Amino acid sequence: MFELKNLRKSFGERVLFEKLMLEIGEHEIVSILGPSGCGKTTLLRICCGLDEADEGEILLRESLLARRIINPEIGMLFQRPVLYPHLDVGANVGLGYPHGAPNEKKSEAVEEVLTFVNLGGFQGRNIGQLSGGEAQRVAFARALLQSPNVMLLDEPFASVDTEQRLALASQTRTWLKERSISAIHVTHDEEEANRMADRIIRWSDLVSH
Amino acid sequence: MASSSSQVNVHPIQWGVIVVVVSAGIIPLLLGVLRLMQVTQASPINAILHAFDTPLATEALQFTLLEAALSTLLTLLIGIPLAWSLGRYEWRGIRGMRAFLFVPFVTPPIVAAAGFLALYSSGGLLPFMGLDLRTETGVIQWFSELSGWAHPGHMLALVLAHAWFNLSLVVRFLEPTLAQMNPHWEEQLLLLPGGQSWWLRVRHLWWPVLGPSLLVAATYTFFFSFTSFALVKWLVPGANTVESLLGELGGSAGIAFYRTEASLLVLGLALIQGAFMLIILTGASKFENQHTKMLALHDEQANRKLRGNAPRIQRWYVFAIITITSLPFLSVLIASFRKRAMLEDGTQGWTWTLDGWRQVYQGDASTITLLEALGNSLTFALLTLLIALPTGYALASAFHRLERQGKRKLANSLDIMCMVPLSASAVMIGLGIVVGLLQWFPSMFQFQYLPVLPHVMLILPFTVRIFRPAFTRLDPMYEEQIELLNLPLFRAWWHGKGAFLVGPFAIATSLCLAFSLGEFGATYLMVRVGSWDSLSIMVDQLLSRPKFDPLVMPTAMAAATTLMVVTFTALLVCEFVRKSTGGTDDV
Repeated sequence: MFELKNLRKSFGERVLFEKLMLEIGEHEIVSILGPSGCGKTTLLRICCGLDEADEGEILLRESLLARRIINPEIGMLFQRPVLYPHLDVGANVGLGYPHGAPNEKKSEAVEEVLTFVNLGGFQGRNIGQLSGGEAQRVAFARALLQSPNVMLLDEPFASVDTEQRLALASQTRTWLKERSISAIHVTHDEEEANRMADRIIRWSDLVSH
Repeated sequence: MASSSSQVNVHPIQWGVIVVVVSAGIIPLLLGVLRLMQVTQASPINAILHAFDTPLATEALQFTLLEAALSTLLTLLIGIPLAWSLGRYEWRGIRGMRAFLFVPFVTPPIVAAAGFLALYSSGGLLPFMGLDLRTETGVIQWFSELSGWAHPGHMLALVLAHAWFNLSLVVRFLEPTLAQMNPHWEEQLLLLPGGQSWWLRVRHLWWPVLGPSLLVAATYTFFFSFTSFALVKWLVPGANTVESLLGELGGSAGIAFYRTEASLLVLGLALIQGAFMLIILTGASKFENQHTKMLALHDEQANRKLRGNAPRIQRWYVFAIITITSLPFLSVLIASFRKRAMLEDGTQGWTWTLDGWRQVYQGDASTITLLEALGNSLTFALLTLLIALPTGYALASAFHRLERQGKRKLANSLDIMCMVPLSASAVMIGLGIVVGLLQWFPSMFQFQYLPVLPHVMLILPFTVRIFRPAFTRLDPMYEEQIELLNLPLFRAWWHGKGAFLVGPFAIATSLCLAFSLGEFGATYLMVRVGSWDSLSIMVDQLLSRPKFDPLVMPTAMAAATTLMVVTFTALLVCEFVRKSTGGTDDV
């Protein structure tokens, strides 16, 4: 349902990847395993429209996605949870609430996703009071509220300790599966990938330089 | 953290300094009000009501509010794109650009007034470009007739000068926020429904993040435009702001059985102005607290690198603003060498001459010579420095010690009391001394260094503002280690504190010198009774001479150029000291 065809990206003389091909199925979670700095993050940024590929196509349900245009059907979780300090937990999650949907149901929807990620009752909390794991779960709740068809996860557990990271990876897999969301997860940690993915692809198998 | 009580307790001398400073800030103002109440036999409420019933006062108040609002609007319109371009992209020599854009803010107001006068007057750049703001002919006359507005040219001249003066405030508050903003905030929002439209991004990100910085810059711009004196005096003939009206009437206020009407008006206007300024500064302080919370978010260099160079149109805009910023300075310099003259073909033109410099040097057109005025200005500036620097240091140190004792509220309350002179304008401080102190204690008329008093009162809050955060950043570990080494007093101070405070010392020194050299409002009221002309007063006196004499402008501009060069030299020397001793930037 989500396809990357012959993607190429370079920075000046340095070719980051070319002829990159990837296809993920409906509700499938794919982990891409690769070392730091290889271009995994850039690939995800291209997938969601924050960056532009030099060549190639991105298709969602066989429709070609326009280049560098943000598609609301694709959500992304950054390496460090991006939470806005001027907003409380509820308002941060509320940013994922579909624009134009009835406003009176917003608070209920926010509480529902927060409860889903085991943060029920956190709506009024200040962002500064959250632990690293809680902050990432808030960001995840926001992404869930957005109800994307494809979720891009850019080493989302890198800022928490090993024990929490593996627990969060398992939980995230459960949450994605329960909501039937396809995902591309990039990491350099094999154990994390094992907990998350239906299929693991090594970066070296994905690209040819 | 363990520390000896001697290091944390406020020293009795420091308590003495606090008492003297608070008294010196409040007593002259109180005495001034009491004196005016005594000679007018009116209560403050009656004086305020009387001012609202007097056309001269209401017109001044309306004009002040209008020019301050327009100045703020124009400053923001020019400043926001400038700060945006500077803050978001990579610039070669960004520190130099920032420093240059800050120069107008520390330029003596009378030099700025002279610069703009040279730009607007016949032979200046603006009339050459077809914009006659001074005598309001051409397009300005057309606009005036169309709109029915009596002097749109004068208002535009003033508003442009205020925007030039306050532009650095917008850059100072907005640019670091933009430069240090987490770039992922923007990107994440683009991917969320809450950031799908331009308006939603403004609502959820740009306004919460930039709003406080914008409001701080706007309130301070409004404040400085509201209390503008020298620029109003010289660019808007025939109209008054509350500040310039107070300056005009102040000389004859507070004298028993003499022009009681003027005293009553001064009392009413000063109280109205005080109330306005208190409201503005309270707002500014609230916004500044919110602004501080938004700072230091992300690595500035990494952010700039991410976005690369600015688009061409933004590069041109920044360079255009930098060029325009330098125009008043260049105009002052050029006008000091140029004299109006009849040319050989019988037409009116300009010739190059050193006569203006000769005349100002010899003092032919003024009560004293250039060197005497320079000597007075430097004496005032050095005395101000000698008093304000150690006093500001002692106050900041005392507040820091109170904070370390857990008495933060007491420290903040005392700090606010020391800030009282800041909530009064320069003219009001001058009036406080002239009406408050001198009318009660006439023997002080004899004291030739009297202008130093208002200079110190006005600069002290700034020096405390510079030292207080520097003290907070000091690691007490160094001080504790020094205590254990049993070093002599000065060496202990230097290694425990002094070496870490070179940057703040240099910045406070440059501000003290620049401020005192350029101070106009309070000195204007002082020297009329003390007859000790400073350079800024000399420029004002020279500009006041009848303009049929072709040497009036070059002579005044030569004096203004001297003041400009002396001020910038003082700033440059301090900057050199700060850099060569490894002083920090973040004050």
